[in-house]
Formats: sequence, C-alpha cells, structure tokens
Amino acid sequence: MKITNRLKIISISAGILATVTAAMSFTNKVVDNPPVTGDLEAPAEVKAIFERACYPCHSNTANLQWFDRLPGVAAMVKKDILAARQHLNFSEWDKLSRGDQDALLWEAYNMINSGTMPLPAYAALHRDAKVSTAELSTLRQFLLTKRKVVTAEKADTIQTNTTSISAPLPIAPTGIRFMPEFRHWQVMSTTSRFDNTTMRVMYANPIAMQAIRENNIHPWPDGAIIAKVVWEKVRDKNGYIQPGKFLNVQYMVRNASLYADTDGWGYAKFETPALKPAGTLLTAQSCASCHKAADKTGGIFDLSTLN
Amino acid sequence: MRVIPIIAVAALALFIASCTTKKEMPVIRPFAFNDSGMQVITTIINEKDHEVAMLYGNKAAMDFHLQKNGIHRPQELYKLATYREQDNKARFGSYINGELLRVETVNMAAIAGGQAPTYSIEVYNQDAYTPTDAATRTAFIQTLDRAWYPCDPY
Repeated sequence: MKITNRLKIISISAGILATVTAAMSFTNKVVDNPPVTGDLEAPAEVKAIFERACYPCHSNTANLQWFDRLPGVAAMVKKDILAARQHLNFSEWDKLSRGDQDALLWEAYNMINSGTMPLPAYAALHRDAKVSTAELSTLRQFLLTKRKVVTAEKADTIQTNTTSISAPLPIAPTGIRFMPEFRHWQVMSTTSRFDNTTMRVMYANPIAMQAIRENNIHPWPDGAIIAKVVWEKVRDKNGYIQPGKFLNVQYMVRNASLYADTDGWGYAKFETPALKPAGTLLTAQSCASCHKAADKTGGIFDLSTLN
Repeated sequence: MRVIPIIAVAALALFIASCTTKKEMPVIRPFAFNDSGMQVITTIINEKDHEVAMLYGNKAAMDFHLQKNGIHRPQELYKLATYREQDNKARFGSYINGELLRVETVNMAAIAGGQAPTYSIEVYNQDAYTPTDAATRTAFIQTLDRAWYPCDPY
C-alpha cells in the first residue's frame, strides 16, 4: 500500500508539473516585441529569406515556438534575442545610415555563408531557419547590385610625412598600442573591397608568419599579431586603382587568456593621420562577433587560400 | 526498458551525422614571393585583368620616395610582384591576392655608370605572357607614387 501511495503522489506531481510546463510553454512571454519603426527594404525573394531565417531573433517580430518558452530555455532564448537585436535589428532599419545598412547586409551574408548564423544550436531545433545554397545565391546576386565602383581620382601629389611619429604612441581602449614596427613585418596579403571602396595591406609579425607557414592557426599562437592598413581607393589616369586617402591602421593581437572574451584576439584601430584610437571595449565585442565568420582560418579573414 | 536502446541509436545517429557534415577546411596558399626585408611602397590594382601588384623597395628606394627630390641613386632596388586576384572566400565582398604571376625587378646600379637601370622579369603560372619593353616597364614602376603610411619613415 505504501508503494502504491508513493506512486500515486509521484504520478500526480509529474502530471501537475507537466501541465504547468505545458501551460507556460504556450503562455510564457519570453521577450517584448517593440514597435517596428522601419522595416528592411529589399526585393521580395530576398526579404523572404531574411524574414524566415533571421527575423525570429534579429527583429521586433519574434514569433517563438512552444519549446522556446519552456522554463530554462526561455531565459537563454531571451538573452540571444536581445543580443541579436543589439547587433542587427531589421525592424529598426530606418535608424541606420545607408552605409551601415549595406555593411550589415554583407556581414549577414558572410555569417550565413560561413555557417556561423543562424546559430547551429538554433538551426538544429528550427529547421526552417536554414538557408539553402540556392537562397545563398539569391542573396549574393542581390548584394552584387550594391557593389561599389571607384570614382575618386588620384591626386597628383602625395601628402608629405612632416615628422616622425612621436612618443608616447597612442593606445586603444583594449590596451593595445600603435605598433609602427609593422612596417618591417612581412606582408600577409592585400585585399580590395567592393562592398565599400577601400583597399588594404595586411602584415604578419614573425610569430604570425611562422604560424601561417606551419599552418598552425587552430588556434593561432599567443604573440601572433596581424596589422592591417586601410586606404580609400582612387583611380589614376590610366585606369589603375591605387591607395588614396589613408583611413586607419588596425591590429589583431593574439592572447588566448587576456582576450578570452573576444575569442582570444584583442582588437585595436587607429584612425586618420593623427592615429586617433577608435571604438570602445564594446566595439571589440562587435569585431569578435563579425570575425566568427572566419572561424575556419582561426578568426582571420584575409588569408589567401587554395580552396 | 526499450527506451534505452532507442536513445542509444538516436545518439549514434546524431554522432554519425555530425561527422558527415564536417565542413572542408581551407588550405593556406604558400608564399611564393619573399620580400627579403624590403618595404611596401604601394599596391596597385588592374581591374581589367583582375590582377593586384605590390611594389617593394629597399631602403634607398624608400628614401627616394620619402624625400621626393626626384634624384635616383644607384643603391635603389625595386620589385613589383603581381598576383591574380581571387575571391576572398571568408568574406564575400572583397578580392585577395591569389597565385603569383610575375616579379619585375628594376635595379638602379647601372645609373652609376651612366647606363639605364637594369630591368628583369620572372614569370610564374602564366603560359603566355608578352611583356611590354623594358624601358616602358621601368618607367611605369618608377612613376608609381608611394602609398601614404602614418609612421613613415620607420
């Protein structure tokens, strides 16, 4: 009799728990959906892909499944949605400049194409979030309509370097100082962007260059540093593209423990000829988020590959 | 009791699926040009031919470009390394240098004796390449302006 009573109690408790959980999964409000101030404007077939794959987290129109509302899961879903909206919110598209809108669309494509987005755990449970190869092609064709063409003409004279760079050297919010010694590092690569009108030269310090030669980039060794110099493109009278206005120098410094919050890389950016340190610690989080798309090359975008 | 084998089979299926969906890892392109301690003077893109080139110079060449007095010295050495541009696989929206196509060298040593600079070219990964004449290419390389770096001279 004792055993029977115990079973009854357990069964009733389990039933109550199941009923409460089920009720919560249908009624629990995980996040607020603030008003849509200005939605993404794109061709219908492009918008449909973003709406299906990205909007559940990257908009104010979160339409959650019952299992997203389960106790325990709901807290994680809420955290992910709020973080997603902070970075990219298609429902507040009007709050961004045209340049920022375009930059986010290119970034969104690269995050999807690399398999970084939708988050694998999310995609495993939400099968319709996956973006097919054909849909990636649709997005690519759409982005190519936003390709930038260089119209600026090359000036006849180059700005003179009047004085050598003076001490103390500028320091970024991440604690990384400007390192002029990159001028003696070996060139890693050079890139030409057509999602904007910039060109870059990337340098690798000796530790980074050795890691590249030995294919020891998963992960990169501590002490590896990549420097990136960015210019606006200009067109010369023969039609060639050359570096024009200097924009900035960026660094990625590898220290797995010091920069654990940003996937082991510290970020720094020094803008204008005055080398003004740019951004905040939050900017570094944003850098790390974007660089997840280059996970296959240890977080570094600009490595020339054979495949 | 039947639940345990079902769970085991499901777990095994998931494990196999995770192995079969493993993505291809990129292979880093080996470095075909060693700049041998020279510095980048500039980079130049030929959109028509989908090529990108890096102009390197030794210290004397860098001094020439920074002093801008128009007087060449015999110690100057220039190397223009030209690459095919390829899609940057990790970032759609940009091109990156691909395979090395040629390295052109301009050595100014001969001007000490009143001769024209020496021009030479090494061609890679191109079956047919017809260079323009040495004088034209030398003049082209010598007339390229430097890219502006905030820390030069360094």
